[in-house]
Amino acid sequence: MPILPSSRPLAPLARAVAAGALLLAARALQAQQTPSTADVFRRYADRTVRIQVVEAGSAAKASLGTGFFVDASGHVVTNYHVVSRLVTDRARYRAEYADAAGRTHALTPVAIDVVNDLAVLSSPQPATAWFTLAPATVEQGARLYSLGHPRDLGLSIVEGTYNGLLEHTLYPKIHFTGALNPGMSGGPTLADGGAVIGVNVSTEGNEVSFLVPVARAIALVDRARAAGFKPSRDLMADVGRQILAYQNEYLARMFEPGTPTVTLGAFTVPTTPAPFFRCWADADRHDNAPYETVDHQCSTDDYLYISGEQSSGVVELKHRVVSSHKLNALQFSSLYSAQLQQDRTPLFAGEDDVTRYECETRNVANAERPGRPSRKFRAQLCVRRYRKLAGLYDAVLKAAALGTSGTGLVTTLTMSGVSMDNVERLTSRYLETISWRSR
Amino acid sequence: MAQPLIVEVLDPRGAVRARTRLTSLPATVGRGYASDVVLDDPYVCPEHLRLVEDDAGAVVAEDLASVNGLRAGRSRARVGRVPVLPGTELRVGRTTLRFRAPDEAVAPTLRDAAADGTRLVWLESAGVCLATVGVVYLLFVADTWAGTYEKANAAGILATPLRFGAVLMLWAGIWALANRAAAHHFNFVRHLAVAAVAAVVFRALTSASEWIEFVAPDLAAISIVVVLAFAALGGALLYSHLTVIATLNRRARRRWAAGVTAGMLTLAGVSAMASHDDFSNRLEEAGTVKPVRARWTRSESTASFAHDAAKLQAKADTLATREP
Repeated sequence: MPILPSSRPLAPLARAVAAGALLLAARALQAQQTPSTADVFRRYADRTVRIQVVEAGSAAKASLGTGFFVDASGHVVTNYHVVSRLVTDRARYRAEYADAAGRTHALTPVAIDVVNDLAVLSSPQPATAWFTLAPATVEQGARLYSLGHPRDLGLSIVEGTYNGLLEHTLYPKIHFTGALNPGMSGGPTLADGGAVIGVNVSTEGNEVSFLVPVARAIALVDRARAAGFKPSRDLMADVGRQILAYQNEYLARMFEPGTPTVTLGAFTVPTTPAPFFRCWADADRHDNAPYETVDHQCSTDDYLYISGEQSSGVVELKHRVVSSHKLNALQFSSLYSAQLQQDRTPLFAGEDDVTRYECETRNVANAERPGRPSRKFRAQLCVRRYRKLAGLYDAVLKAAALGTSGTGLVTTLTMSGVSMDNVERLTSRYLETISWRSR
Repeated sequence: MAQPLIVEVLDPRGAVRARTRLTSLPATVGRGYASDVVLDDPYVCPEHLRLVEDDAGAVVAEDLASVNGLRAGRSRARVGRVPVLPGTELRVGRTTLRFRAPDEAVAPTLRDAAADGTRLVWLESAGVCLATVGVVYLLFVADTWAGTYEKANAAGILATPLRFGAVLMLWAGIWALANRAAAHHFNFVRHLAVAAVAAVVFRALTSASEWIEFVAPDLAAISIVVVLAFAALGGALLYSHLTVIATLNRRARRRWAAGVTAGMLTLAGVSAMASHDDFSNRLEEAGTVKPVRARWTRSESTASFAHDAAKLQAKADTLATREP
C-alpha cells in the first residue's frame, strides 16, 4: 500500500477512522440486504399452501404436499406427482388446502407437465399473497431457502445451497444441498431476495435434493394462462402426449451408427446411449464356479413419474459376457441358457396399468458391413401396453450371441413408455450395433 | 348216498383252501386225524361234527357236543342239527365249510390275455428289468453332468437322478399295488422298468424339442407335433403298464390308454386356456441355446424381426381392450 505524502501529519489517523466508518456502514447495509431465515419465513409463509389429496369416499388422507400461489386469482403451482392421483384415478380422489382460518378449499388441476413434474391448480378462493414468477439466475454456492410441509410437521423452512444444474439429466434440474423431506414436494425454493428459483421435486437423502428450475414453472403457467386457465379436457391424454413427445426427442438419435461402444472380451457393444446416461461395470470371478462373468450396464435417473404404481421413459441396457475354459460345449450351453433365462428388467407395474407381456423369440442376423461380418443372435422381444395411455408400450429386448464357443453375450435393452415406432427403431439399431470377433 | 358230496374248506377271505370229496356217509369232520375231513383249526374239536343221511335221504350235519359249537351261515346262534344242501355254509371254530354237489355249474373259463403275444417279452426276466433300470440311471447321470455348470460335484451328479428315481419308484409302486389287486402278483420290477424307459423317452423328447426350437424358432407347427408326441408317450406308458398286469385283452388296453390320454390332453388344454389371461410382470421363457453352428439356424434380418413387433402390438392392444 503506497504511503501518502507526510505533509499532512494527521492523515493516517483520518484514514483509519474513514476506513472504520466505511466498514461499519457496509456491514449495516449487508445486514439490511441479507434477511435471516426467520425473516424469510415470516415474509413468505402465507404464499404457500399445504395440499392434501384425499380419497373421495372415506376422506382418508392419501398424500400430502406443498404448493404456492402465483397470482391473485389463487392459482397454485406444485409437483405433478403430488396430485397425480387426480389424473390417473380422478373419480376416487380430490385435492384441497386449508386457509389461515382453517377452512378447506378444493384444488382442481388445470395444466400439467409430466416431464418436469409440475402442475398448475386452481382454487375457488383468491389469494391474499402470491409469488410473481420471473426468470432468475443464481451463483454457485448462493444461499437458498426452501419452504414446505415436511412429513406433515407443519410449514417449515430449510436453508441450503445452490449447487448448479445437473448434467446427467435430459431436462435441467437444480442441485440443492439441503435436507428436503417428503411433504415438501411442490414447495418454492427462494433466493435471498425472495425470488423463486425452483420448485422442490425430489431428494436422495443426505442433503442431496433437486428443484425444477423456475423457468419451467413459468412456461407452464403461461401455457395455462393462454388457455384462460380452463382445466384441460383430458389430463390423462395430456400425460400420454407429453410422454410421447419427450421420448421421441431423446430417443431420436439413440444407437445410430457411430454410437459409443465398449469392448467386453470378444464383444463390441453399445454404451452411453446419451450424455445423460451413467454406465458402470462389474466383473465376477465366481471363485467356486468354472466360469466368469463381466457386466456392463447403463441407465438414467431421468424417468417420468406417472403414478405410484407406474413410471415411464426408462431406457436401460445391460450386457453380460460369460466365459469359461473348463466347461465342455454341452455344459456351456446349459450355463448360457440359464443366463438367457434370467429376468433383468426393472419394470414393475400393476395389473390395472399394463397388460401382460406378449413375446416373440427368433434367431436374428444383423447386416454385413465392411470389416464386420454378419452376426447371429437368439433374440426375444416382449411388448406390453399401457392400459390408460393409448400408443405407449413397455418393451424388453433380450439377445444372446450365437456361434461363439467358450464365451457368450447376453444383452438386455429395456424401453418403457415408448411408441411402437421407437421400439422397432431401437430394436433394429441396437442389434446392428453389436459385433464380435470369432475365435 | 345218491351222489358224492364236495366239502370246501374256506379261508377267512372266502377263497377255497381245500376240497374233499365224500363218497359215503356218515362222515366226521374235526381236528383229529381219524376224521374224514381233517381241519387245521385249534378252535375245532377232534371230533366236531358228523354228516349223516336221514330217512328221506337228505344230508344233515350234527354237532358232536363240541366246545365252540356249530353255526349255520352268518347266524350267531349255535345249532345242534342243520340240513346240508348244495351251497350251504357252516361254521365250526374259525373255519367255514361250504358244500357242493358234483353237478353244480362253475364260472366260465377266463381268456388269458398274456397268451395274446405281448411285445414286452423283454420284461419277462427280472434281471433284464433291473439291468434296464441301471442303464436308464446311467443315462440320467450323463444328462445331469451335461447340464452342470457350477462347481463339479460328483456326489451331486450321482445323487440328482436318484431323487427322480424315488418318484419313479412311487409311480411303479402304485402300479404294483394295482397289479396285486387285479392279478395276485406285484410285478414291481417290471413296472419300474416300464416307467424308467418312459422317463428316458420323455427326456429325449424334451431335449429334441429344445434343439428343434433352437434351430427353427419360427415354425409354430413344431409345438403341436411336440404336444402330440408327449401325448403318445403317455398313452404308450399306460398301455405298457396294463400289459404287464395282463388281465385285459389288447383291445381293452388300447381303449383305456387312448381314453386316459385324451382326457389328460383335454385337461391340459382347458387349463392352458384358463391361465391364458393371467397377469404377470414376468417375461416369457426365451428358450435354450444349443451348441449348434450359427449358420445352421434359421434366422431373419433385424429389420424383419423389428417389423414383426407389429404382431405383438396387435396382441397387446387386444389385451388392453379387455378388462383386467
